[in-house]
Amino acid sequence: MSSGKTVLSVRDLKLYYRTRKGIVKALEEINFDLEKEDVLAVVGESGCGKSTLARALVRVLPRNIHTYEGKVFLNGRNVMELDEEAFRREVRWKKISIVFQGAMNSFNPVYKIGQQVAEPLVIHDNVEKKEALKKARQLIELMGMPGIFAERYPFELSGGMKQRAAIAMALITNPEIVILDEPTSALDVLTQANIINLLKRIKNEFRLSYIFITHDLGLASELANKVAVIYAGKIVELSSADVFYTEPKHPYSRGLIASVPTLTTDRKPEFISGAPPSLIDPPSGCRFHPRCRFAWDKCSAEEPGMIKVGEDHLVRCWLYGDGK
Amino acid sequence: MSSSKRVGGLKGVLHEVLSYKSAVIGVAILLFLIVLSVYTMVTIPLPEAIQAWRSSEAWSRNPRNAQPEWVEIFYGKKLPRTIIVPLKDADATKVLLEDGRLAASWTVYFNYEYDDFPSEIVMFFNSSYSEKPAVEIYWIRPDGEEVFLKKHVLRRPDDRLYLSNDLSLELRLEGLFENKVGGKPGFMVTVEKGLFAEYSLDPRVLKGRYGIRFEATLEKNDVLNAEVVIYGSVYGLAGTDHLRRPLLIGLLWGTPIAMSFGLTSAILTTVLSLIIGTISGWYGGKIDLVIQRIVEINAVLPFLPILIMLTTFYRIDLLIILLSVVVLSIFSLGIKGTRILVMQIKSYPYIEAAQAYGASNMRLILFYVIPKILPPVVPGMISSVPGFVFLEAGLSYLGLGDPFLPTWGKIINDAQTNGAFYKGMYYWVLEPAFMLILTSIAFALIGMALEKIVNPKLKEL
Amino acid sequence: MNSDTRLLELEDLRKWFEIRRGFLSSRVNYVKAVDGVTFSLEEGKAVSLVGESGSGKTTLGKTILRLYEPNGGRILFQGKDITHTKVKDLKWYRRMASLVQQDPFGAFASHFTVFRALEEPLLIHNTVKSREERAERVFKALEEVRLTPVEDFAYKYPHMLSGGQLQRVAIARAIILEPRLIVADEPVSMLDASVRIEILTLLRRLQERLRLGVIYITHDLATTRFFSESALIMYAGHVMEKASTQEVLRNPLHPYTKALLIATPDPNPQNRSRFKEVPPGEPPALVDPPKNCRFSPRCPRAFDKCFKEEPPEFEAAPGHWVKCWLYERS
Repeated sequence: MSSGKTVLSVRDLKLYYRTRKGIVKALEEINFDLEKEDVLAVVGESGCGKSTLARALVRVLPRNIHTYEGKVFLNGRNVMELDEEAFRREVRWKKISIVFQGAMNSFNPVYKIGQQVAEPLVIHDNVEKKEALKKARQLIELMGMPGIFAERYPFELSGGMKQRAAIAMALITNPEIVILDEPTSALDVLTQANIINLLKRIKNEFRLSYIFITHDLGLASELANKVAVIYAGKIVELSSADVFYTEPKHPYSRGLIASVPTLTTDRKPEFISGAPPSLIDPPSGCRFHPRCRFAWDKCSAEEPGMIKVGEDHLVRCWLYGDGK
Repeated sequence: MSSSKRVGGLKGVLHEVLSYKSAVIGVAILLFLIVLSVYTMVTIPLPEAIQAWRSSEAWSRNPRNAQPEWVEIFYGKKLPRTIIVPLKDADATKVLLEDGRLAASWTVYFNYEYDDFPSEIVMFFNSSYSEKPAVEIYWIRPDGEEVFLKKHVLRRPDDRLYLSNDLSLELRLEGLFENKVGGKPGFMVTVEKGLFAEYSLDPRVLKGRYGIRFEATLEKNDVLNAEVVIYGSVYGLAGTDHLRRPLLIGLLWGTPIAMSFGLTSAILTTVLSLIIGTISGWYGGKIDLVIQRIVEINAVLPFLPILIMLTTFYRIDLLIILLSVVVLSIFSLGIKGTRILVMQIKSYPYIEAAQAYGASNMRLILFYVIPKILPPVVPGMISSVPGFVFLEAGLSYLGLGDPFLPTWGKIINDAQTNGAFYKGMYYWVLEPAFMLILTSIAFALIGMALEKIVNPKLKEL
Repeated sequence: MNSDTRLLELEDLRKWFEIRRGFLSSRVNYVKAVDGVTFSLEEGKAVSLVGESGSGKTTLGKTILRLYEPNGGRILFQGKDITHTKVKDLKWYRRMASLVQQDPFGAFASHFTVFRALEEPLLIHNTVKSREERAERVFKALEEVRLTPVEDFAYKYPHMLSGGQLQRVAIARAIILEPRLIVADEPVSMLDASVRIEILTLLRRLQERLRLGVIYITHDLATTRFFSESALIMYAGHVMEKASTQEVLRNPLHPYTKALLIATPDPNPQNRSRFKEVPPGEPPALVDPPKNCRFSPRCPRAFDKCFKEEPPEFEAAPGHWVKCWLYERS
């Protein structure tokens, strides 16, 4: 459970990037807090901006960036004000590290796993290579693999093993926050369960906070105590997991939950018709209104802000605010 | 960037190509060459051209090794064109003699205003007679002076009198000159100079109205016709060669020959290579092994020496050269690239899907594979055209080309054999070379533009 | 046609792939991707083929379609033995059984429009002679998969459509020849979560209406529930459990099936405070596997016999088959 100390505080984060077809408003008005040992699940469909958010937080930005503003308070300090060099030295991989989607495929095939896991230590902390390799081995064992695997090459490991190595690489510099961008997307169900178990274990052991990005609501519930639903670049619902899974408020959230096929209940899954909108020219007013069953005039005219509907529960929907 | 799908096929590609300035130049040159080819093929049909090229009679009135007319810009003086003076236009007088014969006299006049001397003077006779007549020829200079040239007995009805080679005439004219000038002139008195020069120590052309008088005694029914040809030193747009053939014809005809040889070789080679590469990549197994080994062996074979061998031992004919070139070129290393591409495509899900709904191998290759591998291959094909054009020119230059066709390479070959550079006849080599370069530039520019368009598409496979 | 309503029957089907070590070596090893599968499918029914990667489910699907030739066992389609029929004699089968692949973007040649892609099967089988008739069939197929207005979609190129839309086109292509059987190989795993249900529902409705047999290959057990009558759980080339979908989900017998059910996440906030009890390790390599229970190295209930002998399929309950020594006495 969270300890009450706010580790990360994001205020009005905005990210646009430029394409030949126009400016893509990838992220707007992103606001959330992350406390120590929190796991915030960021859920949404593909193209909604959740991966962009992950990159924005570690400042791995595309070359065609247009706007990147807002405030990101890390332990009280606004790291958006840091220049590139300072950010690299102090924040990236030191305070916040990230396990990218498909990380297991981003290992360099000509270097051994141990070397690659050790690399962040060498680069960010200026640790001696030998020392770093030792630490890497330790971490690999901690991930549930024999230490000798540090001597193996990526092609000699299975998908699950490589993913564990990628997680080790994210942990080796002792960050406070780990961003996990679809960490199990290409893995089998059993392997996925094992990795989730691992993530639970190390979170407790190292007292980490996670930002867990996924499109799978079931998977999100495995780790998250807080949920942020992103639609078309904006957060449309932010609440604790307990509340979210029992009483989702935003029509999109409800649609998402309804569309998850479950093993246990008899509910037949339903789907949300339509498709996510273009981020270059998003719909007027509430971005979800073209697909929303409950939409009325106000929804297309004016965009709702985040409306408080409960303790730590915010929804971006006119159904809950002034109007109806 | 899939613009060719946005603006359908060929039109879209053309549009895109023209967006590159370099390509516009290339296309312009290409169009010019095509127009030239078509014009040539229409106005001078090939069989006629070949025949004319081989005959000498057709060119008898052209100067030998004449420069192109436009060189006079560089000399700064008016260079002489060929003047033909037919006897028909002459003022003729005929006096009947007591014995029934005619004493005839013809005088023709012409103006000579050029700044330089003619290259040659020849008199062409065309007469009929019962007994060989004797003709006396007099030369009338603009200042009125008459010079007796010679007395010539016609040897045959179509006799020719090559004044320029007449040593006795030359010596006489030299003597005459020395007398008039009062000493040896500062230049060599050739027949042309002797007849056309001012009497001075420096060679200066005497401009004005010249006359030639023929006197002969003819039988009653004799006809005497002649043409005096005063050959210039320049001719036409391109000059002439050692056989008096206008180089323009060679240059003109060289265009469609070069283009068709280049394009045919390029297209045949590319298409056949593509097919072989596709078969190799698609079917794999033994046939793939065999083809790969052939490719590797072919890569080591010396291309040019083999080509030379073939053309030396067998009949030289442009078609044979074309076929040999194609056969030696289709097993090029490019096949390896095609093969890899085809193997990649074969592993794509949509191929499997097509197999699932019953597509045959042939259908898959024709409709699914080839459309994907053809576009990347086209720029290379266009860019390879100059190579083939040069190959043909090179073979001709070595004397191994088709000896009867007027091609650019053949012209250069003639030039080299006749010592063009030693004799300062640079135009003889430079003109065909220029055409070769122009053709290369055209295809190279277009090829480069196509390459730029096609390359990003390679990622869309 | 005989009165047997069995659309498809598989008897001890095997598909092995040869791997030759070295160019000159005479020793041949086999990757036994499918190693003894038996089941039957009735007309108009759907079966889920559930397994993780390496289980052989995709190979089985492709073998059923005769994209591979089996190395052992038999395939009977509508009573006809098509196990070793030559490819050139299988054209009729290509019309009767079709494929929907996992990757919607890879399933189409990028230079064909949607119309052209749908026309291809018709052109190949030449059953519809006139152009107008073909166009009619294409438009009808697009309507069936709810890609309307059809003119909007027919002339687009694949890269202009979303994954969900393309998968609909793939389904349209699969039904355009009016087949009896569809093999859907993980048709929704590459689609967004919210789109999956849509596509699966579409497939189910089409199946029910057109009375198609469907083999639904998936790794997601949760999706089998509303989309198939029966389910097969595959592991390392073997079918570990075979029963009605309901039975498999409510009363799983094989330890592997149980592990799958535990491991499949469902949206429940209480999950975060519990660890899932799942067997560690990875599925085995399929190269020359030992002749024992393939799951034994990871099985929490494995005993001596499991490591020595490969269990046969036992009918633990009527219509419920398990390949596990735990259920021997039956």
